Amino acid sequence: MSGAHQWPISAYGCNGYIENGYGLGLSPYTNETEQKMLAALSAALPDASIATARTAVSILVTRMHSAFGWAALMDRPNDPAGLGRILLPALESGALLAHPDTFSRAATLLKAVAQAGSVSPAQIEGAVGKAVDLADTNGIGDHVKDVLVGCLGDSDISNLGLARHRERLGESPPEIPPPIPTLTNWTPWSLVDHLRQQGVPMTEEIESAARTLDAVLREAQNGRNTTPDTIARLIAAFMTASEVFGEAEAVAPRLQHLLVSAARQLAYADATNPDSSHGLVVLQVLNDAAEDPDAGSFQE
Amino acid sequence: MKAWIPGMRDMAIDGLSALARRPDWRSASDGEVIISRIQDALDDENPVVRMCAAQAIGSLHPDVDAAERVRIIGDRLNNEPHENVQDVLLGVLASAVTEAPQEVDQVLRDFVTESASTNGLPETDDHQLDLVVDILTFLAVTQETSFAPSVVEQWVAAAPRFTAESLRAVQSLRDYITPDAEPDVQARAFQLLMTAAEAALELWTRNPEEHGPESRPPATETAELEGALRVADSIVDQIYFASGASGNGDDDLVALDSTHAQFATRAFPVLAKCACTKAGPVLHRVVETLVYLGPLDEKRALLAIADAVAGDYSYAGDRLAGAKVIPYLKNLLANHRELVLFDEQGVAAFKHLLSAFASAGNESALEMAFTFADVFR
Repeated sequence: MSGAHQWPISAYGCNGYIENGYGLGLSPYTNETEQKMLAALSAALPDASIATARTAVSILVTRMHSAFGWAALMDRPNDPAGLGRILLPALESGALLAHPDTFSRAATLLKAVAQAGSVSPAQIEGAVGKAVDLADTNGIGDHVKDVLVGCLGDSDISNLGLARHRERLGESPPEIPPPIPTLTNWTPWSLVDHLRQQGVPMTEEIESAARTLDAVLREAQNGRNTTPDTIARLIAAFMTASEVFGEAEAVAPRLQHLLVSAARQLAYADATNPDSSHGLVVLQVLNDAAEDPDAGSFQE
Repeated sequence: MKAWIPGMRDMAIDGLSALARRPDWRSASDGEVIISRIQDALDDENPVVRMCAAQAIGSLHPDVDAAERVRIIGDRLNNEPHENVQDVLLGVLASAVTEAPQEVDQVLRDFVTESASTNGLPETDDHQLDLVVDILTFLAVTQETSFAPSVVEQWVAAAPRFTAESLRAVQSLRDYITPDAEPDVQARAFQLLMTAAEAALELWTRNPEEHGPESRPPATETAELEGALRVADSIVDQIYFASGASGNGDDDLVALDSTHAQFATRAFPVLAKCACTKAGPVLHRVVETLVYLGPLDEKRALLAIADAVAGDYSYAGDRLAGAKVIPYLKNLLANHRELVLFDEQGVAAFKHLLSAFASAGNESALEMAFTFADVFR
C-alpha cells in the first residue's frame, strides 16, 4: 500500500496501522493460540504497572496490524473500564472505534471508561470525533457513527458537530451491537450427516466407512482433484465400504447408492482393469445394481 | 439436453458402459456379460438408462465394419423417442463420420426428414440442433455426400426460415475457411458463406422503409430482420477470427503468410456483401478484417474499405471506427505514399475515407484533411 494507511493508530508516541477488514467476526476455531495469548494479555494489562502497560500497548500499536488481533485483545474483558483506560490513547486514534472488525468491542471499552468517569469527557469526545471522521473517510455506514456518538452523554458535549449529532439521536441512541458472530466457519455437510439427521441407524463401522467414501468420492468427482492419489484413496475407501456394507445385516438404500456411485466413478479410472483386485468388485457392484428397480428421471 | 436425477440402475449402466468402451474389459472373461448388460439396457423402458447405455453403442460390435456400425446406430437413432438419448446417439454417430460418411449422411437424411418441420429442425433442443448441423456441415464441405450439401445450402439460402440452422452452419464453417484449410474445402465453405450473406442482405434490404426511425414493422418481420442481421454479423465474425485478425490472445496479430492470399481472395467478396447491410457492428468487423489483410494487397484493401464505408456516414461518427480507420490512413500516408498520393483510384478512396471521417467530426481526420489540403485539392 502506498501513501497514508486507511486505519492509522497511535499511542504513547508510537504509530502503526490496522489492516482492512470486512467485519467477518472472530472465529473461536481459528488462531486459537493467539486468542488465548491476547485474552491473557487483556486480563493482565489493567493490573500491570503503568510503564509495563504503556510498553505493551506501544508494541501492539507498532507491530499488530491485524484487526482480528485487536478484536481478540478487546474481546469480553474482565475489567472493561480498566482495559479501556490503558488502551484509551489507542482508542483516541479513532481507528479501533470505526474499523468494522473492532468497533463494537472498542465502543464497549470506551463507554465503560466514560461511565467510570476516570478520564476527561474531552478525551472521550476526541476519540469519538476522530472515529467519526475516519468512518466518513472510509465509507463506513451511519449506524456505526450513531453508535459511537451514542456513547457520549446527552449533555455537555463541546464539539458542536457531535452535539448536534447526539441531539438527533434523542433519548434512545442505538445500543452497541454485540460483536458479529463468526461467519467464516463451516463444516462440510455430508450424506452421512443427512442420514443421521433422518434417524437412519448405522453402526460405527458403517458410518466411518460411508463417511470416508463419501468424502473421497466428492473429491474425485471434482475434476480438478482426480489425481492418482485420489483414485488410490477412492479404491481403498470403496473396498472398505463394500466389505463393511456386505457384512452388515442391513444397509440404508442411500448408502448402497453411494457404493454404486463410487463403482461408476472407478469404472472410468484407468487403474480399474480386469486384472486389478478391485476391478472385479466394481464389476460385481455394477452388475448387481443393473437390475435394481430404482432408475433416474429427467427434469422437465 | 435436459438435466437428470440419477438412480441406481442408470448409474450402474453408466459404469458398465464405461467398461464396455475399453478393449481390455471387452476381451476379458466378463466382457460378454458387460456387452449383454448394455444391449439389454438399450431397450430399457427408462430413458436415463438408455442414454447411459447409448454411450457404448459404438463398442458393442467390434467385428462389423464402420458402415454397418453406422447403420446399427442409425436404426437405434431413428427409433428412439427421447431427445437426450438421441443426442448421445448423434454424438456417437459424429465419431464415425470420417469412416463412413455416406452412411452417416443417409442416417441423418432419415433423421432430419422425420424430425424436422417445414421450419427446420425442432428448436426445443439447441444441443441437438448444433450436433446435427455440425455433422451435416462437415459432410457438406469435406465429403460432398448426397444429402448434406443440399440441406445446408437450403438452410443458408433461406435464413429467415432457418435462422437457427443457418447461424449454426455459419459458425461451424469457420473451421473450414481458415487460411491453412484444404483449398477445395475452403472454396465450398466460402461459397456457403456467400450464399448466406446474399440471403441475409436480400432480406435486410427488401424494404428500406423498415429501417427508418419511425418504422414499426410487425413482430414477425422484426424477428426476420434481426435474424438476417445476426447471420451477417456471424459471417463477418467467422471470417475475422479465421483470418487471424483477432490475434493469439495477447493482442499479437497472427503474421500473414502465403496461405492468406487465397483466403483473402475468397473472403473479400463475402465481406463486401455483408458490409452492404451498413449495420455498424457488421461494418466494423469488415473494416477490422480488411485492415488486417491489407498488407497482402494494400490497394485492394483500401478500395474495399472505402466501398464498405460508402453510402452511410453514421459509421464514421463512431469512436471505434475512428480508432481503427484513422491510424490505418496514417499508416498508408507514411508507408504507401504512391498509392494514396499518385494512384488515381487510391487517391479517390483515401480522400473519400478522410472526407467521411472529417465530416463526422473526427478531430484527427480534420487535422489530416487540413494538413493535406493542398495535396488533395
